[in-house]
Amino acid sequence: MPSDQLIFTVTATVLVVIGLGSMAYSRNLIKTVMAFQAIVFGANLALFSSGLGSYSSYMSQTFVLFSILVGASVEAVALAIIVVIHRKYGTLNPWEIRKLKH
Amino acid sequence: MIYAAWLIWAVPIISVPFIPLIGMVSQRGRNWFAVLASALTAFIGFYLAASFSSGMTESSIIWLPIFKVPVQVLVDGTSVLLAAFISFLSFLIVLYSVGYMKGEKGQSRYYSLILLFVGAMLGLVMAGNLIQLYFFWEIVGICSAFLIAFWYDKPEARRAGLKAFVVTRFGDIALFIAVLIVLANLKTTNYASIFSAIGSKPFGTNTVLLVGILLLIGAMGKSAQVPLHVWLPDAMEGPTPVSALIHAATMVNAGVYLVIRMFPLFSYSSTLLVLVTIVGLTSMIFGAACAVVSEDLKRILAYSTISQLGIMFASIGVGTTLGATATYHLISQGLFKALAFLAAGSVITATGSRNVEELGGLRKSMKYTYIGFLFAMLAMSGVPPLIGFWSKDWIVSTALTSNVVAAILIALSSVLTTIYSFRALFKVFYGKSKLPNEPKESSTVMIVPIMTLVVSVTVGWLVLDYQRLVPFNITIDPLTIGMSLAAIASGIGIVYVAFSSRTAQTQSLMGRNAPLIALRKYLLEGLGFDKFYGFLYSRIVLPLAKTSSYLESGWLGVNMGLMLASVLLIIFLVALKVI
Amino acid sequence: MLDEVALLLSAALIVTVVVALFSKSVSVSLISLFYSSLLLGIIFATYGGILVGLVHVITFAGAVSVMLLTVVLMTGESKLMVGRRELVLILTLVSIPIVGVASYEALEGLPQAASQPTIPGISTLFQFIWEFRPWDLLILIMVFAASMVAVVNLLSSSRSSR
Repeated sequence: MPSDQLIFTVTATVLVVIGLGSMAYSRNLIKTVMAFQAIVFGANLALFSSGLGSYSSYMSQTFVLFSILVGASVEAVALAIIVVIHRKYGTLNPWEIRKLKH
Repeated sequence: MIYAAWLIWAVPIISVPFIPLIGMVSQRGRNWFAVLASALTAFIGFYLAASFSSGMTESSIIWLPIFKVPVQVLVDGTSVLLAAFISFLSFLIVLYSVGYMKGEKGQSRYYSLILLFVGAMLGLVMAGNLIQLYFFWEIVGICSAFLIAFWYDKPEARRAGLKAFVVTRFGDIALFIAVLIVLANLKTTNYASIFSAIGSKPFGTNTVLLVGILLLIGAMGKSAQVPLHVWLPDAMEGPTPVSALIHAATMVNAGVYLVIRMFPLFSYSSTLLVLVTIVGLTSMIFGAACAVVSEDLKRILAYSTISQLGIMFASIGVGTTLGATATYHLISQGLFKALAFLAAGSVITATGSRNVEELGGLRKSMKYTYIGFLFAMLAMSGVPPLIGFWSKDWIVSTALTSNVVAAILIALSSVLTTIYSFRALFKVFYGKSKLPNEPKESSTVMIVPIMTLVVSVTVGWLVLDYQRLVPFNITIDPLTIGMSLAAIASGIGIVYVAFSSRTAQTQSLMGRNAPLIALRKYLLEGLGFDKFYGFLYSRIVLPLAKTSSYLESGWLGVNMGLMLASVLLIIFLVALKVI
Repeated sequence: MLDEVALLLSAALIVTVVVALFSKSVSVSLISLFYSSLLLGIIFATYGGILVGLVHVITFAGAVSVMLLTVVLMTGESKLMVGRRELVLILTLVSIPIVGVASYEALEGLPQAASQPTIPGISTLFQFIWEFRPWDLLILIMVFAASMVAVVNLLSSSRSSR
């Protein structure tokens, strides 16, 4: 078990935990997308570090590559939806949007 | 020859994507392409039947090497015979659809689903292991649900499609668990290896019993046996060729085929055989009783299907002929039920009504349809020498030697069969016409399949006697012939008195009998199964669903917080070395 | 030597992400998120994934940062409020040691790699994907194209509805 792999695994988990936590208390949808980006970073780093301990890292690097592009696509759509929401409701606070809906 | 076994289900499935493509260019071309594809399938089916010699051949391609699941075809007498029969019948039904569906919207969807349906059923019949069978089983289920809900702008059709999907799901789950149990115990689901392992260590008596019960529940869901039958009468909302396909060739036969295929497993335990018999006899009597009172022409045929499938299950459960009687009755039921549905569809297109009370006197104006329906009803009641006589009386004769109660019940139910068949016949085709204008005979493309089926119903028993795929050595007791002839005579007599000669008097006579009226109302509701399931849904499923909805508050923060909490919990458990 | 580099880069990554997520100012958030993307790309490139690091920097530090900036400018949000920040911060600080212990427990039993893992170059990795994962590549391109179509549709339809 190489120690750099351990370090990266811990970092990845911490990134996911921070992302989930700030998503839970987010009062702004842009912040939510940033938190999502942190979670994607964590996931990619965990995938990448899993390749460090094995004979060949081809597979893990391939999947990291795909995961990066998929994460970026999802985030782009989320940002576009945020623009639409802002035009419709005039605010980006999810708690206020919830109130406006009723 | 082995290539034919692969091609027979590959051809319809491969031709599915071409149908919408051709439909963009030409509507007529698409319809006849579907007919051509099914004709090719039928040709391959007959070629397969002609070139089959004997024994059991397997051919496989490795599909999932990690799980050791090959794609297999199993070529033996039963599968070849049924494949040839199904492809022939579906060819006729697709041909009939060209006339029936003229001018409808969404025909590309219709023909693609029909061909996928037929291809999946043929794949199910040819499958060499349980996993592949389950795969095609699900395709058959989803295609039937979509086809039942074909006219999706009608709310009843949507509801019926959803109901068929949900009700058969109970059976599907049971089948899935059975497949998993077999896989966990034997590491393979190949039929031959399952049968050779029965009784030995990892697949002992209790496991066999459990697997058999689960397989039986799966077959009950697909073959509409009591109490999982509620989807079949409602499935009549689909187009009539679809009903014909579901009832005669594809959907409901899958369950019976499963039980016939797994017969060595069922016959290992006498408990299982008794269970199969009880399920079959209950459905037989229930379906026949409901069919007698029903007023919808297609509903009568649907209940009669439940009844006939019950006879098949009972004949398997009696268990003296290794399921050969059930195979014979499956083919015979398929032929006359397809004929009945095609004739009923012709009536419905000509008159626009399905209610037998509104119809009448169609004998003169729709001569060919009348001949088709007459032959279907004669075969259904078992009048010699039509195919229904041979299948039903052979079942009664074999049952007499081993299970007299079942034999007597089947013979008695044929009185009910005769009553409902001839009631439908008299109400629709005899008497005075109640329609405002004279209906016209249907187009040639619809008459040709009906006439072909009339010929098949008449001479089918000769063909089945001649073929050597599954050797049917039919032996019929003279006692059985006497019993069935008496049953037919009494049935026709009752129907003639009640519905044809002095209708008004008998109706006033029965109108005063309160228990009879109550029984009729009760049977019209299908013995309250729908009500019972509705009660279960509203009292148990709905409160549970409401309770679980508290977890899904819709607050982003709450959901993310719960997710975070569970992630932290997992990390804690790892740290404490619990996991 | 590499272990210290890993520790340093990881600490820097966590710090930048925490700053990005907990700062109230938009500009600080955006800039530190940009730096965190760069840092992750550097981690990838240092530990053998040159192509991965390159793609990561191009997509996240390049495209996504610009997109975030555009959205911020379009919506005109200047304050990014975060609810109870202290709670999340405490949670993070508590979780780091627990996660470290848990990862150590989970990973210590794994066998050591016999030799240094083979590190693919840019062209060999691309060749590997092209040969062994072509369908995944196709699906990926479809997902990417679909997301771009969705973005264009969302932005244009909202404009026309006004």
